[in-house]
Amino acid sequence: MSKRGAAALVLLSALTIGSCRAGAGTGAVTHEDPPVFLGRRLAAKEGIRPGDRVTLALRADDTAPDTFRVAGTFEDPADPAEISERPDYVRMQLPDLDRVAGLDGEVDRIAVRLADPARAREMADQLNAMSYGFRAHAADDLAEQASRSFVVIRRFHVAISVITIFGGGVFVMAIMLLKVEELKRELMILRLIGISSRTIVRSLMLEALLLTAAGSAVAIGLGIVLSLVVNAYYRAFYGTTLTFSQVTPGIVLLSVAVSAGLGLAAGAISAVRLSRRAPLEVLGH
Amino acid sequence: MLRLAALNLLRHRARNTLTAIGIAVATAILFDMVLLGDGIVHSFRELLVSLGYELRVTPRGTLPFSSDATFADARELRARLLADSAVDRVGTMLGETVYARRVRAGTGTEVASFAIGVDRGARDAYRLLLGSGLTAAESGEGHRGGEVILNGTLATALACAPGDTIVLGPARDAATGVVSGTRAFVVRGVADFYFDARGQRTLALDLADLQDLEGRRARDEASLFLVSLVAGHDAGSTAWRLGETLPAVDVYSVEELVRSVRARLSYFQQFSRILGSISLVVNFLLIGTIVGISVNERLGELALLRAIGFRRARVVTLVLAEAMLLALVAGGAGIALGLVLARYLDSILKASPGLPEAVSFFVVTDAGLARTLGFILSVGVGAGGVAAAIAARRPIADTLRREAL
Repeated sequence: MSKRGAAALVLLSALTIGSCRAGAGTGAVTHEDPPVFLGRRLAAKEGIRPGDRVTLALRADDTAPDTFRVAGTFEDPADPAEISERPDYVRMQLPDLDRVAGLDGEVDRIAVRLADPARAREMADQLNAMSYGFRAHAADDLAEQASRSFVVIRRFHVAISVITIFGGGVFVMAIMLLKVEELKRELMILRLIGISSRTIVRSLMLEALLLTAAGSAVAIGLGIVLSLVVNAYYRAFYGTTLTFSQVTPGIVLLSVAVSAGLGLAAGAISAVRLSRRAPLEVLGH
Repeated sequence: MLRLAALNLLRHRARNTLTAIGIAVATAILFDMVLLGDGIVHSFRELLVSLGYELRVTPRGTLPFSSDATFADARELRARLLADSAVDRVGTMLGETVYARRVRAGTGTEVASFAIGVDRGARDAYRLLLGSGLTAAESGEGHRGGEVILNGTLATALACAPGDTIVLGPARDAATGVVSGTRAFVVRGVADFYFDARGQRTLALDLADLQDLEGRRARDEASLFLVSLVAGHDAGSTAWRLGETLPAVDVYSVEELVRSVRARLSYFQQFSRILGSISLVVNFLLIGTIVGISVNERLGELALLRAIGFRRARVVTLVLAEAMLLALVAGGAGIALGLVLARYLDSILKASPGLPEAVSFFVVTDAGLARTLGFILSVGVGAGGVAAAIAARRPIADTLRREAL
């Protein structure tokens, strides 16, 4: 939405709904008043119901605002790009907005539904080649452009994830070293009775894998619960139906794979470290 | 006691070093989340305060340059603001999109740019880096205009330097794509515009020139007033009073603007609280685990110490000292790591579109540092306390029989 359109909508709602409060529900509704629809958030905030009359103007100091009939309310668009601003929305017929805002036939965008949606990019290219003064975009391309903020946030989350994985890996390593330290006498006895170092290393790696698998299972369960909590909290906070957190099969697989990799590496390093020591030296201590 | 605690920690160098690294990483994340919690708000406030204007006046229902909304009769409105005894100086600004092209042989393509029309009172809104700046003539009849200041990005895009001439136009014709209604302007300087986003192309010119270019002169339109107050006057109460007397405008003090930024960037505050809390829990688990294991391994030793006369309180203090030492050393390293990570994470978030480049998300403050240290020490005490309580409660004879004999 261009700044001009946004200005119209924001001013319309912010400036003049206040003036309509006094008029809401008073006087007869004239059916010559053109209809207007209010976003649910705005209607609830200002206590306006369908059937009420409102005045709309572009400027707060407009001495002759236009009168409209509230024909209904609609659910505010769940737009991630506008979520923290929580703008108020008003919908009306284009000629009415043109008259109120003095737009002189200007519009911000024209939405085109194609008979064959798969040809969207091709049609956009054809339109762009045909004329000046506008740019045609396929909806997917537009969504990608509008998502730049979320690309930044995604990179931020990935950076935090990498840091926490590193910290988690270090701690798994510490736990495995501890584990091996506790079992060193038993492990050396196994070596003395003929069990090979390779078998011991494999068993420790398996133990580490089981440990991290158990940890992964708990973590995934915790992640699902936290995801539900985050969604419930942010939906209530922002008054939206957007999904903020999602645990997908891909994320589960990645978490399990990373966890298993860390466990195997930790088990291998600690086991190899122990296997390099002479059994009698360890038992002697 | 501290020496004994240190020696105990050094007994298992490998695992305690690894645990300390884990604690350092968790502390680094905690520290960064503490900085993120208020960082951008603090940074934005510093930027606003540094400009020296205590109030911003905008068309009702808008924030500065958040829309195309303008108010008419700017000079009259300015005079009414100046009539208030608390007001020292008023700068007037108009913001518009223009199309700029350098004048040289052959055709060039116009680049869309954000133009700010300024009067004399608003020329602190940018910092001149090169050139002489706009002339000081007042906007009005017979004003000398035809000059423009560019930001670095626009100067590079147009390959311009002070002394060159550019052409500005208000709009591109929808049918032909031609920018019409153009006028020539001489570049008088290159400046740093404080609120420019990364990659933004910005220019400043005389307010009257921009009003003429955009056909807004008849209504004397403006987008924003910058108001500087007489020393000693409170910004909040002055903003309220001006807002009451001028119903067509909103008057924002620095604190009110900061509050609106806080509301719009609340996601980062919430995120920092969630991740900071998780980091605290992780730190508690890490310290508690390693100190707990260390205590478990030394139950016999601790029972022996009690048997030879160490009081329960001293044993508790010993275990607590170990936990605190681990928390402090690892936490200190974590804060140093956090400072490095903060710069990296800040560079990621500063790439957000539309954000002023001068604003940072991670701002190191004494309060943030103190809060992080406080958290770490509390976690050390809490985690160590649990292990210490276990160690102190063990019956001496029983423990000696099982562990030491």
